[in-house]
Order: sequence, then structure tokens, then C-alpha cells
Amino acid sequence: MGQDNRPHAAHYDASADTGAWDIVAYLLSGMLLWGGAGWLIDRWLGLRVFLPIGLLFGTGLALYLVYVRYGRAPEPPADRHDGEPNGSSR
Amino acid sequence: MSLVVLAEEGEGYNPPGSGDFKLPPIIENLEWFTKPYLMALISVVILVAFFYFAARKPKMVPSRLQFAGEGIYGFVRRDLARDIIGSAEFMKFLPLIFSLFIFIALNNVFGIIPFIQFPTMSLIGFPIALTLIVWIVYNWVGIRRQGPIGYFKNMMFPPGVPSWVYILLAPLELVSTVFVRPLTLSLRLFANMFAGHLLLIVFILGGEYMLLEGEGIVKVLSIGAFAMGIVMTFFELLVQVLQAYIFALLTALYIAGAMSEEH
Repeated sequence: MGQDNRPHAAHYDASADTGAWDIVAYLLSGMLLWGGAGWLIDRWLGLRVFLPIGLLFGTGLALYLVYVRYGRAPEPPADRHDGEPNGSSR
Repeated sequence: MSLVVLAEEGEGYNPPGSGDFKLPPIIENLEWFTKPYLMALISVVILVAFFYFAARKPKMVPSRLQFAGEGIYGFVRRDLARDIIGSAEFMKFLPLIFSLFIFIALNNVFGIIPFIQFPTMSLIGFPIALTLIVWIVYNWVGIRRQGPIGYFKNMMFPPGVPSWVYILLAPLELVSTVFVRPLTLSLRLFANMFAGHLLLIVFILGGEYMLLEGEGIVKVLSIGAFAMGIVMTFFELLVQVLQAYIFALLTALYIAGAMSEEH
């Protein structure tokens, strides 16, 4: 019960840390999902172009997602809903 | 059916392969009860005994055993559970994280302990079972904490993206968190242990073959293979403990993430 601001600080670190580990998961998902979709289209149409397109598209999308989740500068602390009693605005 | 196919030792050198991981049953007619299962059971007995005796009569000036037990416990508690999940709620998850760490660490280190020398986690079933527990826990925590709708909404719709992009991003987030995370978690542990064990087999059994069957200079060169085997054994110790640490770390991170998905 002693330190009140500790869990909050730890929160922030945790999400950043997960980001480092989740990048692989995002990239794999992107390739699996959109590469898989491309592969299905190829099977359906009897072509061979959509698998590479899907793989590249999925990878690009995954990179964008990593940027959205973790790459952007943190937003100003105005939208933190749980009001810290002191020191939230320095 | 018959796992004992590899018993037929061919002439010449048998290169190691996935066959080396299919061990015969210990008791006849009990197909599933192989050495790794016995090791997993023994590891539980060892861990329970170790921490029971380490914590039985705590003293201000700790005995060596108490010091070791407290050291491991304190490390997991401080660095894995509290710093990541936050001091308010980490105690609820500490038993899970601590058990995962010590169980995986000991079963991995079995891979280099003489006469045992088989990492339990190199059989994919063990990592999958552990990952399943972790998967259930972090999804359950997320659903409990944010509600079923809120959990998936926060997971699939990161803020600050034009709304039409969500059509592309939402399925990606879902697949990543629900399917690929457990996949990578179990495969990372499995593959590290599998490859490590294979590496040790290559150097040590290869060296043995060179020494026993080789002629002249080949016999001498087996020293190099054995030396590499020793070096890789110490390297494996590092990898084994590190992988246990990473598994426990990711468990804590996933739980922490599920508790506070709003960024």
C-alpha cells in the first residue's frame, strides 16, 4: 500500500516490453493471414501471383500495426483517465 | 505404434535426428510412460522437496539452502512478477509465474545433468501443455478485467487509425494475440531445447564414433569433437535457464497486457 505511483509506472514499461516481443507475432500473423488469403485465391483462380502479393501485403500491414501500437510518440498525458492525485502534470 | 524401431543400430555412423527423441517405454505395455514423463514427475518431487526444506525453518541468518531458495523466489517475485504486473496485483499471478519458471528451468537443465541428459521440453507436448495454461490465464484475465466485448475491442481496434484500416488490422490483431502468441511461445521453448539436445548429440556421439571406429588421425581429432561437446554443454546451460526465464517473462507480460490494454 506504500507506493501509489509504482504500478502505473510499471504498466507503461510492460506495454513497451510486450511490443518488443510481439513484433515477431505480428509479422507472422500478417504473413499467415494475408499470405493464406492469397494462397486461397490462387487455388481458386489457378494462378500463382496472389500468394507473394498476400505475403508482402501482410508483412507491410504488420509493420504498420507495430508502428501504430508501439512506434508512435506517446500521446500527451491528458487522456489518462485514472486521475493521479499529484504530479500527473509534472 | 512401435517406437522402438530405432533399436536396430545400423552399421556405420547413425546421424542424429528426430528419432533420438522417441524413447521406448520404461514399463512394458505402458506406451506413454517414457523417460521424459518420469523426468517431469521427478522434477516436481525435487522442486517441492527443495522449496519445502528451504522454507521450512526460516532464520534471520539463512542457511545455504534457505539462501538459495529465497534467491530464486526473490528474483522471480521482484524482476518477473512485481516489476511487470505491478505491485498492486502481482501476488495473484506469482504462483503461476514462479511454478512455470522453476518447472521449465529444472526440466531444461535435465538436458545436461549426467545420466539424465534429456531436456523434457524438447518434446513438443510439454511446451504446448504449459502454453495452454498461460493462454487460458491471460485471455481469462483480459475478459474478466475488460469484459468480453471490451477485451476484444481493445485488442482489435488500436486507437488513432483511420476507420477503414480496421478492416485490415482487426483480423491481424486477433490472429496475432489469440493464435500466433501461443504458437511462438511454445515453439520457442521446444525448438531451443530440441536443437540444443541435437547439437550435444552431434558433438558427443560423433566424437565417440570417431574415437572408437576411426583410424589414425581421426581418433586424435575426436578430441576436438569432445571439446566442442563440453563447450556446448555450458552454452546449453545458459540457453536452458534463459528460455525458462523468457517463458515466465512473456507469461507476466501477457497477463500485464491483458489487464491494461488501453494505451
